[in-house]
Order: sequence, then C-alpha cells, then structure tokens
Amino acid sequence: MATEEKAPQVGRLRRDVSIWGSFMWGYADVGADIFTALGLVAFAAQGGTPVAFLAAGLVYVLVGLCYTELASTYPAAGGGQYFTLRGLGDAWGFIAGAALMLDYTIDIALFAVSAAGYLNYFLGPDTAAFVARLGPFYVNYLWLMESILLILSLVFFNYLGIRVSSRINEYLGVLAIAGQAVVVVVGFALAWRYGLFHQQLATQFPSPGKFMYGSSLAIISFVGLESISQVAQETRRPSTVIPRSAVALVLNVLLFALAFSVLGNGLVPWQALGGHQGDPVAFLARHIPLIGAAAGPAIALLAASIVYISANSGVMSVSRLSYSMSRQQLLPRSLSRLHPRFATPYRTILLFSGLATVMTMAAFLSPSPHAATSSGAMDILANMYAFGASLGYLLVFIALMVLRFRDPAAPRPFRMPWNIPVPFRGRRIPFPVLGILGFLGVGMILFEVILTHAIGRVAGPAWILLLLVFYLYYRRSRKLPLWGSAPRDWVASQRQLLEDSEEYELLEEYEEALQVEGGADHGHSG
Amino acid sequence: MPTTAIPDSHVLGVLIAAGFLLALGLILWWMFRVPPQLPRAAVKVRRAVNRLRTVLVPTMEALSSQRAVELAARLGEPQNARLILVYVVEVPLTLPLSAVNESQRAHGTEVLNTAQAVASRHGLQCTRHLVPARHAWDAIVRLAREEQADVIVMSVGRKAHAEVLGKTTLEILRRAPCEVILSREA
Repeated sequence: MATEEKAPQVGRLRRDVSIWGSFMWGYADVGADIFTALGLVAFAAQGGTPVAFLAAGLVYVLVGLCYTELASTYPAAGGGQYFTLRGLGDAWGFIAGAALMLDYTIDIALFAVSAAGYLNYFLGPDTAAFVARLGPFYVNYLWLMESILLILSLVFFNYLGIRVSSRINEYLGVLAIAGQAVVVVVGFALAWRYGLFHQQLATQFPSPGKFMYGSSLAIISFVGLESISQVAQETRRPSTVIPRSAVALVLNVLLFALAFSVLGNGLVPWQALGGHQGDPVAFLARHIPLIGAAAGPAIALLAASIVYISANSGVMSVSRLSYSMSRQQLLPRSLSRLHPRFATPYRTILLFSGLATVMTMAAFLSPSPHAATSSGAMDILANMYAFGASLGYLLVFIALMVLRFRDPAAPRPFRMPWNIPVPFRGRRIPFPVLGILGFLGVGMILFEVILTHAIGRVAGPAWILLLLVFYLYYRRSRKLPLWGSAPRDWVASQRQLLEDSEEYELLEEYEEALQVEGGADHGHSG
Repeated sequence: MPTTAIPDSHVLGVLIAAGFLLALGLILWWMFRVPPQLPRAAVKVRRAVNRLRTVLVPTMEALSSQRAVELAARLGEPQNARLILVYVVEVPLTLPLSAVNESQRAHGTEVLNTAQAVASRHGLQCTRHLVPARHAWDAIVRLAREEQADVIVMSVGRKAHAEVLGKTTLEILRRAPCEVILSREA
C-alpha cells in the first residue's frame, strides 16, 4: 500500500537545481557561520583556535560523509528527517523533523536580522535613532522593518520556484566565495606572520576545558550541510550530483574555516580577534595591506550576501521538510499541496516564513532602548539552534547504520569509507566504522550543548515536546499508529525516486539487487 | 592604523596562499566533472553486458582460440566474471568415450594451461574442463547449461563466413542456452 500516493498533490517538485545550485544551497547555510563563529571560537580556544577548528572539522567531515551517502541514496525532500523515518520509523522521523524544523525557522529569522544589520552599514545614519517604545519594550523599528522586508523578499522568490531562489543563491554565492578567497589569499601573501602564529599556538594554548568549549562552538559553526539533502528532490540527477556537491562543500567549508583561523592567528593576537565577535572577518580584513581600506564596505556587502542566502536556504529547507513530512502523514496533508503554476510547496513557505517573522519580532522586543538587537532573544534562538542541529544529526547517524541492514538493496552511489563486513541474514553487510565515530562525536556535542546551554536544554526539548503532542493528536485523528509506523511500500517509493530523478543506472542496479534478494522480504518496512 | 599596514610577505604565507588557491580550484574542478548522463536504453545495454558473470570459452590450439580467451577475459573483467575454459577431445563413435589417449590429454592440458595463463593476467576466477565427447558442440552446450553460463565466447576459423560455418559453430548457435559471441580473425 503506497500511502504517499494518497497525499493531495498538484504535480511534483521541479528538478531545477544544477550541481552549482546544489553546492550553493549547502554553502549558503554553512558559509555564513564562519562570519559569526571565528570571534567566538577565538575567545574560547585562544592560541589554539586553528586546532579547535580542525577538531571540529573532523566531526563535520563525518557528518558530511554521512549525509552524502544518505542524500545520494535517497534523493527525497526531507533530508535528515526522511532518512530517520526510513531507518527508525515514523515517531523518530517526526522527532528528527521537529528538531530540523526548529533549526530552519530560526535560520530564517537569525540570518534575515543579521543581513539587515550588515546592510545598515550602507545606510549611514545611526540606526539606534530609530528606536520606538512599545508597551514595556523598545523596538528598533527600522531594523525590524528591514528584516521583515528581507523575509518577504525570500517568500516571494521561493514562492516563484526553486529556479528563482536557486539563482539568487548561485549568483550571491559566487560573490561570497570570491570575496572570502581574496581576503584569505591577500592576507596570507601580504600580512601573515609565521612568528606570531607559532608564538600564539605554542605559548597561548587554552586549558582542556576551554579548548573543548571552543571546539564545540566551532562544530556548531559548521551546521548547514543538511540543505543539500533538503533540495535533493529538486536536484537534477541527484544521486550523481550530490556526492560531488556535498564532498566539495565539506572540503570547501573546512578549507575556509582552517584558512581563516590560521590567518587570524598569524595576523592579530587572539585577544583582539576574540574581542570582535560581531565582525571577526571584517576585523581581520581591515588588518590586511592594500585591501584594508576597502575592507569595511566590501566585507559588509559580502557578509550581507552570505547571510541573506543563508536565510534563503532556511526558507527552502523548512518548506521542503514540512512538505515531505506532510506527504508521509506526519503532518496534516494540506501542507503538501503544491502551487498549481510554480510547483512550489507554497503553504509551508508561507507558514514557516510567517513563524520566522514572529520570531524576528520577538527578537526585537528589548527591555532597554540601548539594546538595539535584543541580544537576549537572539541568544535563545542560537541556543535552540545548537540543540536542534545536534539532535537531528545524532538520529541521522543511527539511521545510516540501521539502513545498511534494513535496506541493503538500495544502490549507494557513495558509501562512507572504512566498513567492516558483518554477517546478517545470510549476507555480509558493510558496517560503517566512521558512522560509530560520527555518532560518538555528535553525541558529545549534544551532551555539551545540554550541559552548557542553559536556555537550549529547556527551550529545545520544549519545542520537540510541543510538536510531539500535536503529532500524536494528528495521528490519532487519522487513525494511524501513534508510536509505530504507517505501512509503506519503500520499494515502490525508491523506484519512483530513481525514476523521477532519471538515475537509470541506479534504477537498473536496484532492480538487479531486488532480484537477487527475492524482493519480497523487502516490501514493507516501518 | 591597520588600514595603512605595509605589506610584509613571509615565504610560508605566500606558499599557503598559493596552496589555498590550488586546493579551492581543485575542489571546484573536481565537483564540476559530473559524468554525462546516459539515455535509458543505453543504460539497459550497459547493464545487460554487466550481467555477464559466467563466460564459457571453448579452447583449441589455434592462436585465434587463445585470442577468444583474451577477449572473454576483457569482457568479464569489469564485473569480475568467472571464466570457464573447456577443451573438447572428440572421440569417434567407433571408440568408447574413455578412449582418450595420454597424448591427447597432454595436448588438451597444454592448451588449457595457455588459456589459463591468458585469463590469469586479468585476475579472474577460472575453472577448466577437459571433456571427451562425441561432438564438441554437444559437450560445450551441455557444459554451458550445467554451469549456467551467461555467454559463450568462441573463435571460428579464418575462412569461416555465414554459409560455411562449421557444424560445431552452427550447432552451438542453434542450441546454446545463452548468448554466443563469435570472433573471426581479420
């Protein structure tokens, strides 16, 4: 019984995303993080900042490899939520989805506010002058209006279709990568001092506790790879393209993170970098000869571009995620309706952008006229962001390992390296050793988040619980299993995915594998 | 003022900058090298050949026959196919099947040794059979059936053409339970 076919739908999501588009959807999400993380990590990890980024990067690479395998095997909208659903069943799939929905909604609000902040650099007048009183709160209405306008512009572009929103990403992404590369290359070539780098690394390495905290912050700065898998169902030839775009993204982001941290250590004392947590990259750029004078406006433009496309990535991801969850009967079916003309999940775009707008408004409510950005509210958002990401990744790692056993026939164009053959029901299943390491690494981050983020450990689980109550109510009203899984024909679903994405080679491989297995024992899972 | 900083290059810094650019370029270059998409019919054809996992090769002393082994090995190499090498000693009806003499057996073994040497260069798993039979075609077809061969690769004489294919070849073409590939020297 193919329950997915019952969901109301007009047409299908269009495959309009190229390899550059796929890469940029991921880069849009991850690329912005270094602009905020560098100063925070430098403040915690001190002279050991590059090592903290390297340690975090290793876990990030594992997460990247895990997502690459799953997204190329199951090129469906939903990303981590879809993988968890297939591997662990409906309830866990919903929990993973709820965690990721939290992240993406925050992503829209957080980065729209941030982009507006960078754009204010060009407006000239002091934005603090545009503060008005609203009951017991003070609101910077200019900044707030700018942020809401940016969210509305993203709603407009995403409503029109993935091609338009993908183009925005692709063009702004070129600008962002080129700008960052110029800062790195010119910085190393003209201003980097080995003596300072070595001295800071050798004599000002932090205590183990501070280093762990710094590396946990650095790990959070890599969040965002998920977007590539969210857009998989709209990517042309996803099983061929995603392994390349995802691996390239992992390497690219790691390269930039290491380059900026090494450059920072050899350019300025860590105390100075840690003191500029709001604009660390711009601060570095100002210390580079020749480009230093132009660095202010250039970096402001660059940062605005990156964080804007990051917010764009949030709109796309949360709409596709909830679309996918709706089609899987985890959320009301009406959310999976596509626009008859643009083939976009317009209801979810409007719903979650609206929610993000409410979050943005809440973030701007400040008890003091001097707190222009209401940083307390932003802290809540950032804490919940960290919780959602680490919980989602943890479940995805479990799903990766379970799916190796439950769905061995699905063709895997990319497989996580380092596998041990494990006998299972007459077969030898390649068990991913790196999956275990990734699981432990992400588990440690989640533990650190719960331990150190006072708001995140309350607000994050509260969000999940709230949505879980709604899920149980919805499932009960639809007479679906509350904790179990609805019956699904995963074989038909996999065939459909490969057929739709024109991955004929994999489709043939899948059919052959099913023939070898006898097919029947594969039919119904979940 | 930082904005008026004077350029102060360090050779290691320049090398890191160059390495960074090279790495970035290589990552993007690799990413864009997406293999071209094949039409569905072409994929089916490719997969059909990939499914040839058991290849039977009748061998003789002729060079063309050993060349057929090489062709079969190359055909089977990508999918790590199993090669079945067979040498048939035709025994006249007037004699019992066991009447294969040492000289014939030694000759057959030598032909099979050469064939196996050719195949082993490709790292394929090989099984060899020296079979006495009344008719070579009968032994080959029977073995193909027993071993569930996916394809028989065999050579035909230089003078062979459609009208005058030998009886063995014609019978194999007619009765083989699998695909048959003929190789005729130019």
